Formats: sequence, C-alpha cells, structure tokens
Amino acid sequence: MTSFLLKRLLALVPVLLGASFIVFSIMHLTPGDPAVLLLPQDASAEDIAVMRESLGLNRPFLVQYGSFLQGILRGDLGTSFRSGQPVAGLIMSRLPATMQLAAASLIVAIIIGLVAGIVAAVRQYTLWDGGAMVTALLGVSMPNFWLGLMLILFFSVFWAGRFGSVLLPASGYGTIQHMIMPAIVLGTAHAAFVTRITRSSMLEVLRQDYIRMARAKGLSPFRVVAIHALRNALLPVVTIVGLRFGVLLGGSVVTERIFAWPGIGRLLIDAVRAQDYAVVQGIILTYAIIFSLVTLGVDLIYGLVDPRIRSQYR
Amino acid sequence: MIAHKKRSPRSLPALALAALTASLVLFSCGSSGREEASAGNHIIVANFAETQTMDPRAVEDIASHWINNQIYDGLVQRTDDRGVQPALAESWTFLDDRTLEFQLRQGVLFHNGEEFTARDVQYTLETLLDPEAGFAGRSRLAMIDVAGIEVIDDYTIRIPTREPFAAILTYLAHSSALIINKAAAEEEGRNFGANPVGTGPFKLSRWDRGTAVHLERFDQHWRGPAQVEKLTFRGIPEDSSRTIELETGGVHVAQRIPETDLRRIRENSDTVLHEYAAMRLNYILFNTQRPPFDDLRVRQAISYALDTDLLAQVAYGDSGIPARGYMNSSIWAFNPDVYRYDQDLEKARQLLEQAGYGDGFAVTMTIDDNPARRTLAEILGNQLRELGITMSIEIMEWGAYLQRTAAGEHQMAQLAWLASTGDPHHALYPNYHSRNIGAANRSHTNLPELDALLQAGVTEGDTEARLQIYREAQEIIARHAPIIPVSDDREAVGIRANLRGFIPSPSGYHLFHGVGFAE
Repeated sequence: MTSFLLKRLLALVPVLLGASFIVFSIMHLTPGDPAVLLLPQDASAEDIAVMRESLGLNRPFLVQYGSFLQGILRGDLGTSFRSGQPVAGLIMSRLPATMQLAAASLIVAIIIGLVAGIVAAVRQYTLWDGGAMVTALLGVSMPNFWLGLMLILFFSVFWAGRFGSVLLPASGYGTIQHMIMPAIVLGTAHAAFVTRITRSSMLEVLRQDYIRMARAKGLSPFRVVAIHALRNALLPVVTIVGLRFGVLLGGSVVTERIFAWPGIGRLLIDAVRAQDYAVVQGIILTYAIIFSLVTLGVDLIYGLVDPRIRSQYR
Repeated sequence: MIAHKKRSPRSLPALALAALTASLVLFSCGSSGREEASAGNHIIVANFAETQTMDPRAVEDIASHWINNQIYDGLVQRTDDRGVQPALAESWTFLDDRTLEFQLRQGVLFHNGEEFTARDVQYTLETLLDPEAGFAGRSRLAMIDVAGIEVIDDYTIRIPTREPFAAILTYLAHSSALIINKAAAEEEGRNFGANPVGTGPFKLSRWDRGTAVHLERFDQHWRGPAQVEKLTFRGIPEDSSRTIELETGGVHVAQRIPETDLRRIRENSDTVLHEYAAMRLNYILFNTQRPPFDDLRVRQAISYALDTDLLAQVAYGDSGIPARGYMNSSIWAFNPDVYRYDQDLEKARQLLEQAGYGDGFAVTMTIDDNPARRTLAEILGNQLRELGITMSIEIMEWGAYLQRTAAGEHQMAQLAWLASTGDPHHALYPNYHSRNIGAANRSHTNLPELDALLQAGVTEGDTEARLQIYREAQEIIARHAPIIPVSDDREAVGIRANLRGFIPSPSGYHLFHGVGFAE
C-alpha cells in the first residue's frame, strides 16, 4: 500500500512538469502582450517596451520557463503582473471558498443523485423512473446562470418584496446562507450525472442472482436495496463523484460570477484575460496537483469499497 | 461471504457525506461574517470588479482606483467644472513653462500617524516613475523630469517636466498620482498594496480578497472626519447581481447599473438613479494605411453611408447618446461645430465610384468580444450592403485585439476612448499623433499638420489658445475621417434613497467623505 502510494505520488512529478510546460507554452504563444494589458490605453510604444523589460518578457522563452521552475523549487510561484501580489497568496486566498462550494455542491449532488438514482432503478419504467430521468436531463441541460438568477429572483427579490427582507443573500461570501444558492446551482448539474450512473449501476446489480436470493430469503425490500444492492452498485458512483469533485474544485466561472463567490475559477479566467502568466501557471499547477490527489483518493476509496481491488495495491 | 462485508462499505456514503459536511463547517467557521447593510454608520458599495491592489502606482483599473481615492489624497483634485482644486497642495506657481512649485498643506496626517511632507511626494513620484519598478501608472506621468524633482523644505516641492506640458495639473489630479506614505511603502515593499497608508478620509480595516475591502473612518483627516464610520466595497462583477443587491438593500450604492436595469432603479421608490457623462467616446476606426481605407474617399464614403444615430441607439441604448464630435462632449475643448457626415447614400456612392470601388468590396471588421460592439458590427454590415460592400466580422480576445490593431493588421475596428484626466491632450494625442503609431494610434493616422497642432497643445500654457488649437485639430481629424464617432458614453450609478450627499464624479471615482444617511 505504501509503495503504491509512493509510486503514485512520484508519478505526479512528470504530470506537473508536463502540465506546467504546456500551460507556459500556451500562454506565451497566445497573441497579446501582458505589458499592453497592464498599461493605460494611452501608453506610448516606449512605455510598453519599458514595461516588457521590467516584467522580464524580453528574455528567451526557455530562460523564462527555467526561472519559473527555479521559483517553484524554492516554493515561490511568482508574482502577479496585475496586482503585484505573490501568486501563492492569491491562490490560497481563494482555495477555502472554492473547497467549501465544491463540498457543498457535492453534498447536494450526492443527496439528490443517490436518492433519485435508487428510486428510478427500483421503480424502473414507472412514473418515478421517468420523472427522475427527466429531472436529471433538466438538471444537466439547465444553464447555471439561468438557474442562479431564478433562485435569486425567488429567495432574494420576491422574498424581500413579500416579507420585507431577503431569505438568502443574493451574492457574497462568509456564511452558510451565502452558500446555499450557489451550492444548489452547481449541485443540480452534477446531481444529474450521479442520478444516471446510480440508476444504471443499481439496475445491473438488482438483476444479480444474490439479490434474487436475498429476496427469496424474505428480506425486506429496503434491506435488499439499501444494504445488499447499493453498496455493490457504488463503485462506478464513487468514480463519478470523485471526478465531479475534481471538476468542482476547478471552480465555476459562471456561478462564481453570479453570486460574487471568491472562487478560483474567476481568478483563473480574469488572469487569462489579463495574460497574467504567473497567476495562470500557478492555478493550473495547483489544479493539476488537486486533480491528481483526488484521483488518487478515488483509487483508495475503490479499495475500501471492493476488496478485490485492494489486493492489487502494490 | 456476508461477514467480511460488514466492515466499512455499509457506512461509506454516510462517511463520505460526513467528511464533506465536516470540511464545510470547518471552512465556514474560518471565514468572515457577512457585513449586513445597516443604516446609520456603514455604507456598503457594490463595485463592478474586485480590487487588484491598493497601491495607486500599480493599478490601471477603475474598480481599484475608486477605492484608492477614498484611502489617499492627491496633490490636487479635479473639480466638476474641468479644473483642479487644492488637496494636499494648498497652492502652486509655475516658475517657468516647465517647473511647477507646490506649497503643501501643513499638519496633514497619514493613517499611521506620520505627518505628510514633501518627502512623501518626492518618494511617490520617484518610485512611480522608476522604469525598473514596472508600475502601471508610470506612463501616465512620464512627462515629469524625475531627476529634477527638488524638495525645497518640508512643505515646498518643485516638480519639473521634461518639456513644457500645459496639462500637468490635470495629470497630477489623476489617481495614479495619489500620494503614499514613504515610510510605510519602504517597509512593506511589494506588499504595500495590501497594507496601504495614505492621508485619505478612510483607512483600510480588512481586505477579504476576492470578496470585499473594508474601510473605516480616519478621524484625523484634514477635511474633518467622514460622515460614516465604515465603508465597504464589495466586488460584484455580474451586472444583474449588483442591481438586485441594490434593490433588496444588500448594498447602498451600485456602480455601473446595466442599461437593461435602468428603468427598474429609476422607478423604484427605494432607490435613486444618477446618470452622468463618462468622458468616453465609442467609435468605429479605419486603418488609414491599408487598402481600401488608405484612400480618404473610401473613408468618407463609409462615413456618409452610415446612420450613426441608429447605430448608437441599437448598440448602446440608454447608456449612450449619439456622438457629435471627435472627443467626448464633456471634455472642455470639445468642438460641437466640427464637420459632420450626415447620412447621404448618393454622395457615398459617388465617392466610392471616384475611388474605383463602384462595385463595392469585401472588408473585415476586427472587434473584441464586447456584445455592444458585436451588435454594432452586425447592423453596420447591413448598412454597408447598400453600397455593395460585404463585411465580415472578426472577433478576438481583448489582448490579441489590442496587439493586432496596434500592429496595423486590421482594416476596420471599434474602440472606446476614455480620457479620464478630462484633458483634450489625453483625448487626442495618443490616438492621432504619429508618434503613437504602433501603440494607441490604432487608425495609424500620420498627418504632420495634425502632429504639429497636437504638439502645440501640449506646450501652450494659455487655455483660450489651447482651446483654439484643439478645435482646429478636431476639424482636421473630421476632414481626414480616420474614425466614425458613434456615441458618448453615459454611466449610471444607483443608490438607496436614504443616502445623502452623494455626488457622482465623471471619472467614476465617486467620493464618500461627505456621504451619509438621512436622519
């Protein structure tokens, strides 16, 4: 198990190197000049040249990449062109909000997804099944911004008009109330995936002989479904949930924007638009680490769920 | 078989949920509480973007400058009637056409308790203008001869320019030249932007990055204490969210109310809408060095072919008024009598015929991903079809767009120009002087006659003479037709009806020193 973990962690190194090089190359090959974006629009050609020099953008590409790598080895992700702030600090200031929202959305997704998926499987081809599947389809096809605005209109605007004050704040960050609407918006879309995968996995398991045997032995339907079927149907669900968690940790630009949520998605997009190289590279690197760790976590959970897999950890 | 399964898997979903919930609670405990909008002593403002830094030297974005204007003071401050008024400088004298001597206000304190002196002014300008430091605000004040700055005594400083620069006072009133505390800036270094020390009416209390900047009243401010104790700027980038927060009382001031929400805020009895001219001109521009627009007749033909009032109305709606000249009409040297290309399709056809394009041609308009510009480009394409001109639209990301248009790789484009200093030099020189080809002169205009006038405008000290120079310059630009003016921008800021003393500033940096709540 330890050697498995070590091997997986070592494999992270080339992944991160590759990711950093690709991002670095893309940022530098993209048309546009960070110096121009940083300066006022009336800056002269000389001003732009001076700024390029002071940002170190005139150095050869590989020299710039080399100094970026050197910085990482020292634990320094560099400084944002735009704000002059250390990149690590910028990322760390956004991670708590990003993780909170990811966790809250995942809880919403799991609760809705598991319940709907199980009900749909157990009541296959009934109105329940159809209802769950249509809801899942709606959940995945509903644009985030639309659902977000609808929730705000109801819980904030309508509520304030009717009862004098808002039920949930329209935007911001800091309390559980702030988190409810963004978590529902993000969770709904991901719940749809969980619903579908739970349903199909449950259907497969429910057709197994041992389920038939359990029913024949006279176990209650709840016990058969919740204990015997569900835990065997969980493996693909864990995969999906794990991957969804990874995706959620990358932030959601639209949801973060609507609710003024200080997540990493907005920071990344703003940095890309401003060609703030150091910030973009820092975030992608962080994201690569988080995603790799989440994948590793999912692999470890497999072992918990399925002993056959555990035996393969070497 | 069943026995070994009794271990963990049964409780796995519950475990996972418990872990997630725990992490959620844990993180929530660590985060800051929400600042509720409460009347009395706390104003909450919805800014349209989040703050980058509170170091005024380092930023070039309006959202950050707005906050900096509450934390710092400048030597001088813009007035609503185009001039400047004393701020940290009590008075000033032009010793010659290049040197300005300021008498500074005495007894002014910084937020850290230090007294403001000429050394702080010198330090601010020297660090701002140091090319090595790479501050964004440098280019705004690059006309200052930094080596020649001379501290006469604690309250007297001489600031020379490299060549005569008539608009120096308006440029010193810009937010890039807000005065910082030398000792604090030296101590904090690059971190000064997170721990700002100025002389302004509010000082930083807490910065929740990505969420809000919390300021508190600085009681020793030289103008006397501000009306409210606390001032919070929240970054709310989504237009509709800002409007909703204002409507539901989550904030007291919301900047940049989108055009679609103007009526709602205007008609709501709990809110008041302030609309003001924003010193910005939206326009269509030609690359005057590339065919077919290197031919004046073709540019004039297009100018005659368009119904620009319709373009302004459809693309900018209530947030713009049709432009009538070559700089925003709120700038004091605006020439309202400049030659106008009223729509005349017959004339347009004749000019195209003379230029050898009687059968029309194909052209590409390059724009960024601004929705209003896209709308305008689509209508424009339709209007040009009348002349047999087929237009395709090339949409680029902002950074790429700026690079491409600076390099002259475009045929037509659209842009907005904000002359935030309010000076005609700022409105014209960057856009039309041949020295700025490859930078802000994106029409690649190269007219020696115009260059000479724009240069004269820089050095001429007499305001009346400057007015004549800039009026003539606008006339030349009109005849040369490198751009087609479309609309003068208007901005809208919404406030709660119980707020008193709020005066919108054309620069967008509305000040909160005198703003309070109705009893």
